[in-house]
Amino acid sequence: MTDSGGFGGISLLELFKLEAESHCAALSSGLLALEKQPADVAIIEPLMRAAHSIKGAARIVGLDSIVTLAHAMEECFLAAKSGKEALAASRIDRLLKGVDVLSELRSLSDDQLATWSQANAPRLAALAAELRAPAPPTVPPAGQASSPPVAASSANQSDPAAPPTPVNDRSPEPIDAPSAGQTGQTSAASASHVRVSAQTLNRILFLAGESTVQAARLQSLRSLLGAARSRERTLETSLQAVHDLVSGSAGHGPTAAASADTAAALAALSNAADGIQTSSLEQAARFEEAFRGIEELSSALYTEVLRSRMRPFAEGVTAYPRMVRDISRQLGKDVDLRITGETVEVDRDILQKLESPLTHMIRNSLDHGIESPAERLAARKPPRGTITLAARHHSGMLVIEVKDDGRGIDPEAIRRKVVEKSLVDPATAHRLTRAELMEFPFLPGFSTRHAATELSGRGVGLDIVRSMVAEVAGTVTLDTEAGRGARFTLRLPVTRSVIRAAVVRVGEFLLAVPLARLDRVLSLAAEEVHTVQGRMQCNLEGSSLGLVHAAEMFASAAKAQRPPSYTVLVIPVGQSDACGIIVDQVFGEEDLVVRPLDARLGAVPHIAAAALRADGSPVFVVDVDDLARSLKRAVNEGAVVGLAAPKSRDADHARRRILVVDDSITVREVERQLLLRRGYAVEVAVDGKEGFNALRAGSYDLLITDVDMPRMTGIELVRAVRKEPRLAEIPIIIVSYKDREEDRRLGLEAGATAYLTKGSFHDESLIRMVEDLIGAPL
Amino acid sequence: MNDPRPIPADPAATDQRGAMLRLLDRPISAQALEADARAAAQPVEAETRGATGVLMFRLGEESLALPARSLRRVNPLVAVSPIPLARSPLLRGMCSIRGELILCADLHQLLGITRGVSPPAPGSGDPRRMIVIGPGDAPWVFEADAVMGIERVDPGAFIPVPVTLAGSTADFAAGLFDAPVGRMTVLDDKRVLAGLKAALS
Repeated sequence: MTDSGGFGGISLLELFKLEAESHCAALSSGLLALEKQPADVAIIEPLMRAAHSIKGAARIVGLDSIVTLAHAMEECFLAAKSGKEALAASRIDRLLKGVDVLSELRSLSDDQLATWSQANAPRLAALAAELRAPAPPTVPPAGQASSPPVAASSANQSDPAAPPTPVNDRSPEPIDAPSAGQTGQTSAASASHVRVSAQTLNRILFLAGESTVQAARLQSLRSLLGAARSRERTLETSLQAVHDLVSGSAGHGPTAAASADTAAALAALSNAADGIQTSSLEQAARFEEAFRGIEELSSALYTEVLRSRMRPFAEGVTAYPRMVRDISRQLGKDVDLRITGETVEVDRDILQKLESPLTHMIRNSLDHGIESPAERLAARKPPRGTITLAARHHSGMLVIEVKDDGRGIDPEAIRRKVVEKSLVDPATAHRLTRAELMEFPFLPGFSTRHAATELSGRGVGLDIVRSMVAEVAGTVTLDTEAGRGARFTLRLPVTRSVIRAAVVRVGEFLLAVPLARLDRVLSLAAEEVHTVQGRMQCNLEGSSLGLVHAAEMFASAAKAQRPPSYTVLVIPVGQSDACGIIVDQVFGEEDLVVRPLDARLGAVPHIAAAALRADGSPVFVVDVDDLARSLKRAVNEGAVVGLAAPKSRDADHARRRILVVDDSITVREVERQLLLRRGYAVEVAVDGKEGFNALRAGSYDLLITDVDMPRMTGIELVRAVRKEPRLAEIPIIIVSYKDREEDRRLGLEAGATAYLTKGSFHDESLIRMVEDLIGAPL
Repeated sequence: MNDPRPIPADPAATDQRGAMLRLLDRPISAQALEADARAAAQPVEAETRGATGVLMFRLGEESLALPARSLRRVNPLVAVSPIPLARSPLLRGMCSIRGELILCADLHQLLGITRGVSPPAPGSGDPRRMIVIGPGDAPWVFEADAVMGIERVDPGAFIPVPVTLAGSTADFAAGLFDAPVGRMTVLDDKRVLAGLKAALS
């Protein structure tokens, strides 16, 4: 009976799975609500219907074991509704377990479904029996794990007595008819969704975008029409002038008849011209109407296609109430998750990408933030902790907050840790502001907690959270106070597909800088720009701002000259620093639909994506983070110097320069100090990509790199460097933990000059190798 | 029997056909009519023996032809945005063809042909066209100085490439043939695409 009958191209089993899926979501959220308000009949009703619908639908497709389970669930709700039994937490646990089982269906193929149903029949029957067994005494939320032994043993006891037969006994009547009707209703309500492949949606979006471009092109046709009409008016005036001349000379002409002929001909001409003008006026009006129509339509179409990517925030957070409930019980904590802003519209891409950072932050709060009920009482807080997940739109951005009222982090503890890890010297650490301190927990490997639990080691993941949020062009900040809780604030673009950006020209390139990452635009007279020790600077609100020519960052071929004035984009670098890049022209702000770069291009330094302007010309969206890293280096070192900057060959420049690339701060520091002590000038980069950008921008005598790094591995880096004509000859030392022969061969084949293991900086072999390759420091 | 099913169209074939139809969506010249008449007058065997459609276009002073099987679309001229830090001079930039962003190659450069300097005849509009070639997931577009139309040719009738053929065109040529508008070099589309692909690595 599990044969899949046709139903508009979708199999019956497919329909069943879709329906079960939507009911499972309803059951899951309803059960959690019920836990808070056990006696609320308004909540129980729909749950009962959901279980009933699943039962009916399962019967239609012949999945008997699911019928059994759904029936038992329905009975539970029925009992609760009739007031026979308030649903105890333990019973809700079992019901949720039932929902979990039903959720497994989603991942099964049509063929697997029937076998799954058969194979899992005993398990489902046991669960059904458990549901029918009397509720064990309620366990306090804090304490035991979610499956207390009581429940298990009671299930075992009633197991032999509860084969799936009772269901058939109790309802042999054709329950199909009413349930089928109900099924139809429910799916009609939820069937308003159609699955479209992302590729198709993109193609529609491209075409819709192009239709607005084409509509805009009609504008030029309109001005052509305008020009034609003004020529017609000139014709009219000339005709009138001739007419006046002829009629003025009528009396004196040689022959009155000829004159009358001329007048008649002129009148006819004048009439014709009038006609032309009238019809062209009408044409213009009609064209105007059609133009407006098509313009409005195409932009409406475009907006609508873009909107189809938006989903309500609630859709992305359905899993969290359950997660909070399960984990808090496991930890013996009592935690309430509040979600606000469920209806706020969020780009589905962003929603997807936020899943794991949000999970991480919530787990973090559960694990380290919220205290145990006893601790909370001792701290004069309510025993139940609260985690708030809030979404809202704020000044064109999507803001999501994850807030808890737990123990928080003492900013001073962060300050101590900063010194302890020697990230900053004690004097500087002392001066760090609160906002600056709050940046440190996002650094890789920075942890304020010594014992990381299995759930979430704070510090292990926050750097990943930050990079994942940055991937969708967002930022994340932390604010916390000891004893009062912590708050993570994510600021994200409302949609990933449209960004508001400043479109600028740099030499021959059209670039877009997302406004979210742009502080401001300055216009500076030439004399406001100074060159100090080879570095360009200007004054901005009392402090000096380092300047870099964008043309050099993007390797523009255009020859730059010293202009009478500079247009400067001020870009934030890190939390409290900024840097200025000089561009040739700013066209203004535009809304751009962002597209991924053609994969064949690979990674383009400083470029994140492409986009189309309203006139159909492509622009390149700047990867501000990537650019900021290079800018910072350029400004600090003067590696990219300004136009008028004379290259001062001071001591530092004369020294041999080495670039150290390693993602481990420890290794980086060890190598840097080792080489510094020998007298070499050393710069560092945190991964292959940053290293590569540094090599292209600066001049180095030697590259020392690790192999395993994010974004671009050492091997990829070496290969990329060898392809650059200017860098093809630079000596490269790979320093890696990997000491197998094939690793060594891989490195050398890629083009490395030497391959050392990380033990090498304990003895002198690294230093000896460096001296062999580039000689003494000076 | 009373329900004759339409023959399912081969997507690649429809694509080619579409490109050709779009190309021919313009006033028919006497020349084209003549060519059509000649094509109609061809003995049937030539078609079945694998006569193939080629798109004829001009780069600088060179007349070239490209097999229609690699052709995707012929478009009016569009703006090309250079790509920052692009690795190859063969990569002119990126442009939008019907809203799709496509990498733009410099075919003049690939074939070693100097760009045409002759200005377009006044009033007739810009004869330059963007030609999109290559597979759907890795398309290329290049600018041609003019497009002359589609011609059916029998690959068996190709004249071998003379060793004296100038520049790197020879490296990418499949043969020569005599079109009504003059002698052309037929490019080997596979080699052209491979040459462009190599520019990216």
